[in-house]
Amino acid sequence: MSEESFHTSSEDLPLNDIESLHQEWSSRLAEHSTGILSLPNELLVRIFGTLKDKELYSHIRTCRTFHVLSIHVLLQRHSNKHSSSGRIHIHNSPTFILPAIHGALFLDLHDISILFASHIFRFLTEARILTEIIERMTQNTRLSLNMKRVGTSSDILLFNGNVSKLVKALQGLMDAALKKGCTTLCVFSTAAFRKILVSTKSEARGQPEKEPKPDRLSGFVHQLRNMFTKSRPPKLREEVPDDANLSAAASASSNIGNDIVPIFPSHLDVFPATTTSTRDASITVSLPLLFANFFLDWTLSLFNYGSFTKLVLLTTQFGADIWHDILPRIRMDNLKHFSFSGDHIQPYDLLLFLQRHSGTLEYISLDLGRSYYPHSSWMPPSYNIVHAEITAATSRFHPPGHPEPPLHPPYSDFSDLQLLSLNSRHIPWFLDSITSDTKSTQYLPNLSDFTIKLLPDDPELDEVFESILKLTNLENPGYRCPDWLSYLRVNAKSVTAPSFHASLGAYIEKHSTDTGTVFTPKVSFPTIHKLRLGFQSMSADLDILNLIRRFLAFFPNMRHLQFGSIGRDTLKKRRGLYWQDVRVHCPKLEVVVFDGFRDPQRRWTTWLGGYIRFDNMCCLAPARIV
Amino acid sequence: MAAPATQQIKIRCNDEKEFTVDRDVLERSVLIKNMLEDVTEQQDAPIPLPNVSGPVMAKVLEYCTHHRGEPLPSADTEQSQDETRKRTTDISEWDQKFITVDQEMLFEIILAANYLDIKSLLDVGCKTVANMIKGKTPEEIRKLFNIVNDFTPEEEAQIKKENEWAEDR
Repeated sequence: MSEESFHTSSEDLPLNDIESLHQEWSSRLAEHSTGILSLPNELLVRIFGTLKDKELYSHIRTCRTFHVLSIHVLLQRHSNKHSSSGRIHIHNSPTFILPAIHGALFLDLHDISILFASHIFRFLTEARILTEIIERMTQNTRLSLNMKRVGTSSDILLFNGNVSKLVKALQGLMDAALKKGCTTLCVFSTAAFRKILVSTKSEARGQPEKEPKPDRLSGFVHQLRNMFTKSRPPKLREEVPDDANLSAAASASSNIGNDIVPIFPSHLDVFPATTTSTRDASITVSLPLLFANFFLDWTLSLFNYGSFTKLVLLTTQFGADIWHDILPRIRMDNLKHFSFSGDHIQPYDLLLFLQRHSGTLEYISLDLGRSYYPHSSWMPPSYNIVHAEITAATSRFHPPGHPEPPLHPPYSDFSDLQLLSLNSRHIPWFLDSITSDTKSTQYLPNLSDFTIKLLPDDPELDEVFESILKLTNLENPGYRCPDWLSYLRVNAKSVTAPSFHASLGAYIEKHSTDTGTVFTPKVSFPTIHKLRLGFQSMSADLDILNLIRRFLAFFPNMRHLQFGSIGRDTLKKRRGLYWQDVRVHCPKLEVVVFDGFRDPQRRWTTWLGGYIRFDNMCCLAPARIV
Repeated sequence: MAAPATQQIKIRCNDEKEFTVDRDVLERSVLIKNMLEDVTEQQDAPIPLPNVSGPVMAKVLEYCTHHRGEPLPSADTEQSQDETRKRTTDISEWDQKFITVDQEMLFEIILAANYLDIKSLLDVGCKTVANMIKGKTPEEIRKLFNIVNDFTPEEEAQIKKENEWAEDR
């Protein structure tokens, strides 16, 4: 029977025929059976896709094929990205995180990022398994764990009495990371912990108790305190692990592991050190004051771990004494990037720290907040630094009773500095210091980007511009880069609008002649061809545009102008007239950018464009405030 | 179905078995539907289906015949069906009876449905396998499907350790 007629109406279906065929088929199956594993993977994935997570966990253990496919399905279900590029982002599914990581490693994904959303209880288990997973990671895998949501306040209250377990779990995790040569470690204490400790403090002061469970809370804090005070301080390691000798690093860090006390981390990036990866190694620490005593030693042992090249200190609640204690103990042989943000630091301490690392530092960003600072000598030595930003919220001076910093630290060579950001109050001192060093003939030869931040209590522009003028007029032969002092940024956002207005007006009036029809500036800044003026939004009543118009006349080579918020009404009121003058004084102007002036339909742009006819104009772009 | 003159189509399976079937029945298969659309002229030669055997095709045609005239899932409804498939493993009574076959036949049907691109049949098959898997331990699954445990003892211990906490939930 080579052909079989198949009836198409269901009533006439030849069931007997089918059964006979079936039997015939079954006998043939004995030779080569079609099992579940003969299904192509795409179909197995389809089948697995109908199953719940829990079922899939069972499959993981069945056989290799099921293992890979179940993980694949789980990953698809629980990750945002699971692309062929080898990156994966796992989120928000506490029960799944560990199989997912394991699966990701299994599938050779090399960039894994995970958001932990679990309770602290669960985290205990996860930390244990995670530790093992970290231990099995290959050199090329990057694992980033975001644990911000572990340990919310309710969690911690529930967790009362189990601190030691948590500490142990975290310690294991950190240890594994360090053993792997982890080079990036972000350590934060959670806001919840801070909150609890602060509220305990208020309790001690006899203030009304607002926390619902004071007993548990204080019990917890007490236990926490005991945990950390009992631990021995770490032995600071002398040798620094180099990349070529990872095993040495591993054994050395395991020694640390016995002594260290972990911080409650919210973010842990594990990326085993390879010869190329250390360039970006960084450590970020943000600790509230109350944690200082608990964690300081451990943190310091991390700082001295050797391969970190970036240190970010964001601690705002340390006192000057604590900094005075900490900073001398930090030695990072490869430190290139240093960011500091904090109040109450003695700039002298900071200066010594920077001096000690001046051989490697390239980038410094110092926000001294409300720290005191001395009249002079606050500037660090700068042999290699290309980027320096120093800001402070006030202009308070060096307090009495503290050691005076040296008047002239060895900072004469700023030959590499390209970006400098300073408070207005600092600038005259800075320039005085570098120009008073008679041995030097080079003054910031590579500086191209200069930012001036005006302080609220210090809107004196006169002195600032006087200093810049002095700088540009210095004889500085042969060392100026083509862009020397070409970009000036004046940040007046913390100054009130009327104050800035008055200050600018006073400066312009003093340094120009205005006959009413002809406006002639007496000074000019020819090197600057990019200017950015950031200020608070002006009211339409102020004649700020007229001021700016005249101010721009001081910059004959201006090409790129960017300035702060201007109300639409202001812009409208002054239209054509205003731009005519600008064109006369800034013939090279090409780009005008308004900050914070959104014009998605480009209506204003078009509208203004009709009035502005700069010879070199290529765009008029609204931009956001940066 | 009030189609005036139902076109008869001949198909030939990989074991030389041939079927003559109404066109609208065969068009449950997107593969054959596309083939027929590509060939405009009347052809007497049977359509070769090298990936399907006679006995399996007979089962598939039984399914297609039962479901003839039902609207084919469009690309839009596909998405929502994917969604519902994830949550439900319900199978209609007729389909359930239809799919009550031995394992080999079940997998052959799934493979054929996949090859012939018959979404609803593929769904039924996959759901059936999923239902078989449900609630079973790895050992039971191995026994059921005659799967060899190809992990090394070390690997197995490792995996078990990693997953024991998950299985407790």
